[in-house]
Amino acid sequence: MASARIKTVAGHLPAKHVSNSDLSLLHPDWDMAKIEAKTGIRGRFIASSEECASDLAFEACQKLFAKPGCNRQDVDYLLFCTQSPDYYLPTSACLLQQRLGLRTDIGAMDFNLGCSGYVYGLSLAKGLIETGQAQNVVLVTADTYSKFINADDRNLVSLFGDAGAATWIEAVEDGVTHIGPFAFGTDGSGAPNLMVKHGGLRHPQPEAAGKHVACSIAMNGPEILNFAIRVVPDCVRRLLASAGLPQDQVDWFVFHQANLYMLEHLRKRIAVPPEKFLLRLADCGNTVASSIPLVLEEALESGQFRAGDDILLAGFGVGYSWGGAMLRW
Amino acid sequence: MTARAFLNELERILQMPAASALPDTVLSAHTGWDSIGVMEFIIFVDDNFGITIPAHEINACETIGDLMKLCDGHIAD
Repeated sequence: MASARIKTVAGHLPAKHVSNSDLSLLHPDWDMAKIEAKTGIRGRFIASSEECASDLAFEACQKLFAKPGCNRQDVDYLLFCTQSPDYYLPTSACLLQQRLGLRTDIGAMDFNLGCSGYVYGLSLAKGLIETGQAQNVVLVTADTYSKFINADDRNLVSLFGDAGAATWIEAVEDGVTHIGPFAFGTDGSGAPNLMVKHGGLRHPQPEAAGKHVACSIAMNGPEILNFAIRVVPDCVRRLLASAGLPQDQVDWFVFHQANLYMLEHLRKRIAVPPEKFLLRLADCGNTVASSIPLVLEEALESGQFRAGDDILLAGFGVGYSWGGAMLRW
Repeated sequence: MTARAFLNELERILQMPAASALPDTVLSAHTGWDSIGVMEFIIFVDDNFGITIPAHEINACETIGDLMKLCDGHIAD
C-alpha cells in the first residue's frame, strides 16, 4: 500500500518588510522593545495592496516546482488552506490550477482553517494518497491577515505577518508511515476570541458615512493563551500515546509559531528541550497556517532533518481548532 | 506563595519599582498592565498555581488585591 510522504517544502514571503524600528517611527507610543522581548518578533512581511493570498500561494508553488523532481504536470490534487480568499466564489484553488498551468484532470479545493490548517491539510493529503485517489498532492497555505488588521491595533500589527508555503506530498511504497498518526481538536465556543466578524453573510460589511469600513480581526490574546495552555499539552499527550512513542524519542517539535512567550511556556510545560524545539518567527512573525511549513523549509535547507527523524507538529488557534501530527522523515 | 512574593511578581509584570506594589495598587495606572501584562499574569499563575483564570475575570480586576482574590487559596498571608 502506498504511504504519503512530504517530498519538500517551499515558502514565499512578500517583498515588503516592516521592522519593529519601522513601527516605532510610525507609533512612538508603542513600546516595541517590550513587544520584541515578549513576542520574539523583530519584523514581519506584509503583502502589498495588490497582493492577495493566492498570489503568495502562486509564488510559493513556483518555487516548489523549481525544485528537483517537482514537475507541475505530476500534480494530481491541489489543496489550498486560506482564510483570505480572492472571492467568495470560485474557490481560489481553481484559479491557482489555471494560473500554475496544472493539468485539468486533477482535484483542487480550498479549506478554511487558520493556525491548525497545515496539520489538517496533511491529514487530507494522506487520506487522498493512501486511499489511492492521488499520487502527488500539493498542499498550499497562504494568508494576508494584514488586510484584516487595523493599522492602529498594536497587538495585531506587531504579531502577524503575511506568507505562503507549498508542500509536495507524494506516494511512496517503502512500508513506512511517514505522516501520522494525528490528534485533532475543535471547540467552536472559542470562535469570538479570534474572529473577523463582519464582511461575511451573517454580518455584512458595515458602512459608515456611506463608505465601507474595513473588516478587522478581533482577538482576545489572553483567552487564546488560556486555550493553548489548555489544549496543546493534552494534544501532544494524545498524539504520542497514539503513536506509541516516548516523548524523549521525538527528534524535533514544530509548533505553530504563535509568539515566543506562548511557545516558551508550552515548551516548558510539555518539557521539550530547547534544542529540539524549532522556531522561525523573528523575521516573519505569526504567519498563521504557513508558520509550520516555513519552519520545515528552514530545517530542510539547513539539513537539520535526517532520514528516520521523528517530528511532532502541533497547530492551534482560530476556531478554536487544533491538531497534532507525527512525521517520520 | 507568600503575599510579598506575589507582589514582587506583579511589580515585574507592571514594570513598577521594587517593593512598591500593594494590594490597593490600581492596575490601570501602570503601562505594564496591557494585553502582554495580562498574558504574563496568566503564565505566572499557571506556572505557580496550576490554575487557569478566564481573561474576562482578570480584565474585571481593578487592583492587585482583586488579582490576589482570583488566586485565593494559593497566597499565604
